[in-house]
Amino acid sequence: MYMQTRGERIFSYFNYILLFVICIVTLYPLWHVAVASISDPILVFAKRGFYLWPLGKATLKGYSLVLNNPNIVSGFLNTLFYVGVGTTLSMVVTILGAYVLSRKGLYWNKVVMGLIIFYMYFQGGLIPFFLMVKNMGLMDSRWAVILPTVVNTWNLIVMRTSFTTVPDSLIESAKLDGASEWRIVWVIAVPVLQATVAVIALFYAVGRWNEWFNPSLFFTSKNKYPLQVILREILLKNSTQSMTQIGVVGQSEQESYRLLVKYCTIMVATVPILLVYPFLQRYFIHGIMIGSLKG
Amino acid sequence: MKINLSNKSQLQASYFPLSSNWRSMIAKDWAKHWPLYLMLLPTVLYYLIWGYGPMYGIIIAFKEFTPRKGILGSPWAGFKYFQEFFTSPFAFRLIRNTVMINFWNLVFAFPLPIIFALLLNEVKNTFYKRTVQTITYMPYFVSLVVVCGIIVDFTASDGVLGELTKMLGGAPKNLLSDPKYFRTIYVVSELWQRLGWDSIIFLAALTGINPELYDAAIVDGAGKFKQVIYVTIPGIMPTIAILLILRVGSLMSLGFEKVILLYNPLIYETADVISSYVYRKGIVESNFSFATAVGLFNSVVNFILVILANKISAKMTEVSLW
Amino acid sequence: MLKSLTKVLSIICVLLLLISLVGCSTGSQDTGTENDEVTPNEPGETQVDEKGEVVEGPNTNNGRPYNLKPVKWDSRDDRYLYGINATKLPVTDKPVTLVVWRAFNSTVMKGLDECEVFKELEKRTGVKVEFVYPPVGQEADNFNLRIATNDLPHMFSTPPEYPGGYRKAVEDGIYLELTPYYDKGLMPNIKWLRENYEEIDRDIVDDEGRMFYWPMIDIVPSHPWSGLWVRADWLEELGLDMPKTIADWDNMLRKMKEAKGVAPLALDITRWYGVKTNYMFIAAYDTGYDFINKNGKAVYGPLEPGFKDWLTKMNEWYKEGLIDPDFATRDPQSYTANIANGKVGACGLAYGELGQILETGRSLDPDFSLKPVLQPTSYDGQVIHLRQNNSIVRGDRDFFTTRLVEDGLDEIAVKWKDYWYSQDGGDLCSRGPEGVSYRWKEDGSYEWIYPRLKDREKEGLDFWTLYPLFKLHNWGYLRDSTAYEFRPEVYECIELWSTQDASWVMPDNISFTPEESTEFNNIMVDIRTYVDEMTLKFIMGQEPLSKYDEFVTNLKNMNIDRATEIINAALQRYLARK
Repeated sequence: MYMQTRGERIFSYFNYILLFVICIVTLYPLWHVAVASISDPILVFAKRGFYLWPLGKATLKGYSLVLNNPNIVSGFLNTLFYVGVGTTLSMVVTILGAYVLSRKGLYWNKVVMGLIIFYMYFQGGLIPFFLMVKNMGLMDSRWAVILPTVVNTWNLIVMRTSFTTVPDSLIESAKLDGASEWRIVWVIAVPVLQATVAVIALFYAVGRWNEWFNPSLFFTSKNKYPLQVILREILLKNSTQSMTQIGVVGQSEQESYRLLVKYCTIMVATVPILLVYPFLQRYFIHGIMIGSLKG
Repeated sequence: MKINLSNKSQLQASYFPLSSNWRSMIAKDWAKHWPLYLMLLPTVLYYLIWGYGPMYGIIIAFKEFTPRKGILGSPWAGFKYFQEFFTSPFAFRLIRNTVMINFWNLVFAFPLPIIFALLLNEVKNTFYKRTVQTITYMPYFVSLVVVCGIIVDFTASDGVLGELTKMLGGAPKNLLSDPKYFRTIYVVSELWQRLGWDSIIFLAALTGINPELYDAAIVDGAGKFKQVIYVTIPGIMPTIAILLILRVGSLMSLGFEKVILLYNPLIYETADVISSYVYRKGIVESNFSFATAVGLFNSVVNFILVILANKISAKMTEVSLW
Repeated sequence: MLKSLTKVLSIICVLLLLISLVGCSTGSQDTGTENDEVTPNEPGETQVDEKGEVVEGPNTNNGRPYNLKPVKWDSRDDRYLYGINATKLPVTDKPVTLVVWRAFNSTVMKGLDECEVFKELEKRTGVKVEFVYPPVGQEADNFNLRIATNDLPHMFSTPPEYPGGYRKAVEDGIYLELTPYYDKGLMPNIKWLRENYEEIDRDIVDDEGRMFYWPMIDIVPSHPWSGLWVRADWLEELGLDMPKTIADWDNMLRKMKEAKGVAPLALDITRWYGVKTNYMFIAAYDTGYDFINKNGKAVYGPLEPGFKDWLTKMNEWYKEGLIDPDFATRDPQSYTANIANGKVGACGLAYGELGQILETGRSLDPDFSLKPVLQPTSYDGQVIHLRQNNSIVRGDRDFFTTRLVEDGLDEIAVKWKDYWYSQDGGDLCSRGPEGVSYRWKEDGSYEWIYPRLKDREKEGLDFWTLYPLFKLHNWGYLRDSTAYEFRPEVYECIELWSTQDASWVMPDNISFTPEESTEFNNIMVDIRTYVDEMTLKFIMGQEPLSKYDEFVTNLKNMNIDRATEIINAALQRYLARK
C-alpha cells in the first residue's frame, strides 16, 4: 500500500480548502438568482449588487406569476420529449460515428473527418437551412427540432478521441471471440468509456434543454413549443425594454414584479436540468478497463 | 518522340499508376470494413443533408443579397462587403480585440479547468468530491444577462471591488470605464462561469486511466507528483490536445452577447470586437451579405489556424483531428 | 399664486406653439406669436351628416383646436374635429379574410382576434382578419424568412426594416405601392386628412409624393416623452428655485452634493434616456448630439461650436464630482434604480420609467418627489430649440403586400384600411367599441369600462397589460394619443416640456434612396462609434479637451461631410415637399 508523505498530506489539506473556496465563489451567481427570486420586488429593484439573504419579506409571488402561464405544462412536457428522444438519437448516431472514425485503417475516414471539420467552420447560414427544413417537409413537425441538430460536431470529435484510447488489443481479442462490430461497440467500447459517454449525453441533454432558436422558427403553433421558448416569451413580456418601448407607465403591482419574474424564470429554466448531473456521477468510476480486460 | 500506339495500354498504366490500385484499394477496404461503414452512414447522411445541403448560402457574402431574389438570384457584389469591413477605420482594432480576448481566454480558461480536474481527482472523499463537482458546474446555467449584471455591479465604483479598494486605502474607481481592465474582467468572469463545467470532460477522461499504471509507478518509487506527471497527464493527453486544437481554431470567433452586456463606449478601445461591431451595424440596417462576409473571413482564419494547430499536434503528441 | 399664473401662462404657450407648429398653413417654423388671435378651443367648421359625408371642411387657416388636457378635448362635441366618415360600410358584400402579420406577446389573451376592436371592425366592414404571429423576439428572422420563402401575409403590421428600405421592397415586388389607389379615390378619409392637415400631407409621402405605408397618425400632436427632472423635495429643503440657467444648475448641483454627499447628476450620453433623445444640457449650447435641422440646414451636432463648450461644462461637473461616477457603465435598470435609491438629485428620464421609480422611491423615502424641469439656457435671451419631439405622422407603419393583388383583394383592403383613418374608425382603434371598452360621461369626458379593468388589482394586472383586449396601440390608424391611462405626473411633464421649441429637431419622415441609406449608414456606424467613445473620454478627462480639434479632423477624415451632404439633401427634399 502506498503511504502518503508529509508534503502530500499538507497538499491534501490545502486542496480541500482550496476547493471549498472555489465552491463558495462559483456558487454565488446561482445563489444570487435564487435569493432574488423570493425577495421583496421593490427592494430588489432598489438594491443592486451583492446580497446573501432575501431582501425584505420572502414571497413566492414571482413564481406564481411564472407558473400560472397556461403554456408552462405543455412546454415542460415538450421539452422532456425533445430532451429524451433527441438525446437518445444523438447518442446512438454519435457513438456509432465516433467509434468508426476512431478505427485505424479505414480508407474513407480521413475524407469524412475532413468534411466534418470543414463544416465546423463553413456553414450556409439561416436562410438556406430554413429552406432545407421546409423542403424536407418538416415545418411544424417536432422532427424539425430534433433532426437538423442530431449530431454536434464538438461532441462527436471528443467522443471519437476517447474511443482512440481504447486499446486495439481489447477489440482484436473480442473479434477473435467472434463478436460483431456492432456488439463490440455496445458491449466493450461504451462500457469502458462510460464516464465520457455519460458526459457527452449530458452535453446533448443540456443543449436540447436550452434550445429555443430552432423551435421558435419552425413551429406555427404554440403547443409544440419547448419550455425555453415559453419562458423567453414571459421574460420578454416582462422586460423593462418592452415596457418602456411603448413609452408608458403601469401603476399596479405587476410592474414591480417584472424583475422578480426575470429571476424566477431563470430558476424554473435551470433547476430541473441541474438535477441531472448528480445522477450521472455514478458513471464516473475508475478502472472499468481492468474489468473488461480480465472478463 | 513518337508514341507507339501498340503500347497505348501500357502507357496508360504507367501514366496513371494509382488508378487501378486506387480502385482495388477501395474495393478491398469496403469488403473488409463494410459493417463499420454502415455504422458510419447516419453520421455521413447527417452532414451531407444538414451541413452540405445548405452550404451554398456562403455565397451570400459575395452577393447583393435581398431575401426576395433569393441566394442564387441576387446580383453579384464581388468582394464589396469584405472591402467595406476592411476599410472601416476600426477594422484593425476589432480584429486585435477579438484575438486578444480569445488569446487570454485560451491562456487561462483552458488550463485551469484541467488543473481543477486534477485537484478534484486527488480528493478521496467521494461525497466531498461529488458535491464540489455539482456546485462548480452550476454557474454555467445562469443566464448571461444575470451574470453580466452581477459583474457590472461588482466593478462599479461603489461595488464590492470598489469597497475593497477603499478598505485597502485606495481610491475606488469604476473598473469597466477603464480600457485596461476589460480583458481581465472578461476572462476572469468566463473562468468563474465555466471552470466546473469545462472540467467535466477531463474528469471523465481521468476515469479511463488504467489503475495498474499507477501501481507500476508506485513500484518504481514515484511520489504523488510524479504519478501525475508520468501517468495522469499522459492518460488524458489526447483529450487535452484535441480540445486545445479546437480552441485554437476559434481564435477569431467571439460571441457578441457577453461583450455588449459589459462594454460601453469608454472601453471600445479594448472591448469592441468584430461581432459587436457587426451587431451595431445590423441594428441600423440589417445586411445579410455584410454579416456573412465578416463571418466568412473569421471562418477562413479559424480554419487555417485549426489546420496549423492540428499539424503541430500531430507532430508533437501524435494526436490529430484527422 | 405666482406658480399657478406661470402654469396658466405655460399652458397658453404650449397651445400657441402647437397651433403654429402643426396647424399653420403657411408652413412656417416660427413660434406661435403671430397666431395670437386663434382661440384654442374654437370649434372647427366640419360637419358630418348621418351618411358620413363631409358637408363642409374646416377652415385650415385657423389652425387646429388642440389642447393638451385630454379630458376637455375628448368631449363628445369636440371629437368630430379630427377626421371625417367617408367610408361606405361595409366595404365588401362577399366575405373576405385578410391575413395580417403582427408581432404579439400577451399573457392575457391567446390571439389578437380576441381583441374587441377586431370583432367590431369585422361587423362594420365585413372584413375578417386572420392573424399570423412571428415568434417573440424572432420578429426580424421570421420576417426575412417569410420573404425568402415567399410566404407573405396580406399586410405586415409594424414589420422590421426591409433590407434596403421600403422602396426597395416595392421594387422587389414585396410591398404594394399605395399611390395608385389614392389617385383612384379609394382613400377618402386619408385624402381629407391630407387636404386639411399640411403636416400629414407632407409626411405621409416620400419626396416624389408617392405613398407606401399606412402610418400611425396622431390627431393630437404627440407629446414629448423624455426630458429633465429634479428632486423637488431636495430643492425645497435647500431653499432653491427650479433652475433655469446653466449657472442655476451649477449652484444647485453643488449645494446638493454638499448637503446629500452624493454625485447628484445622473447623466446619460449613449443610451436613449438622455442626451440622445432629450438633448440633456447640450441644447443650452445650441447644438445636438447627432444631426439637427438648424434653420433649415442639416448640421452634425459635434461639429458645432457649442459642442466643445458643452463638453467643457460636463467635464467640469464630472471633475467636481457632480456627475454620477458610474454614468458611463449604467444600463437602463441600473440608471433608474440609482434614481429611485435617492442618490440622484437631477436626471434625464422618459416618463415611461416614472411609475417604477416613484413607487420604489416613495417606499424608501416618503418625501421622494420628482418634478419636470425645462432645458436650461446658457446665456441671456437664449431660446432653446431642441427637445424630444415626434412628428404627427409616426414611425409605426403597416405595409400592404403584393399578395393582395394576387388574391384580387387589393381594392377592398385599401377601403378597409382607409376606414381606420376615419373619425369612427380612429375612435374604434384608439379606444375600442363605445359601450364595451369606454363610455361617455355627462360632462363630455369618457371613462374606461372594460370589465376586466375593474378587478385588475385582484388579478395583479394593470392597464398596460390589459389594453390589447380592447384597444390598439402602435398600428397604422388615426390615433388619439391620449386614450391611455397616465399618471398625473405625466400630464405635468408633458405640459412643461412642450413649452420649449423643437424646431431644430430633425424631422422623422425625411427619406433616403436605398443607395443613400446604405452609404449614410456605413459612414455613420463608424462615426457614431468614434463620437460616443470620444465624448465619454472628454467628459471623464481621459482625453484632454485640447484634443477637440484633432477630434474634428478625424471626423472629417471619416467622411462626415459626405454623410452631412446626404442627410442635408434629404432634408432639403423634405422641406421642398409641396
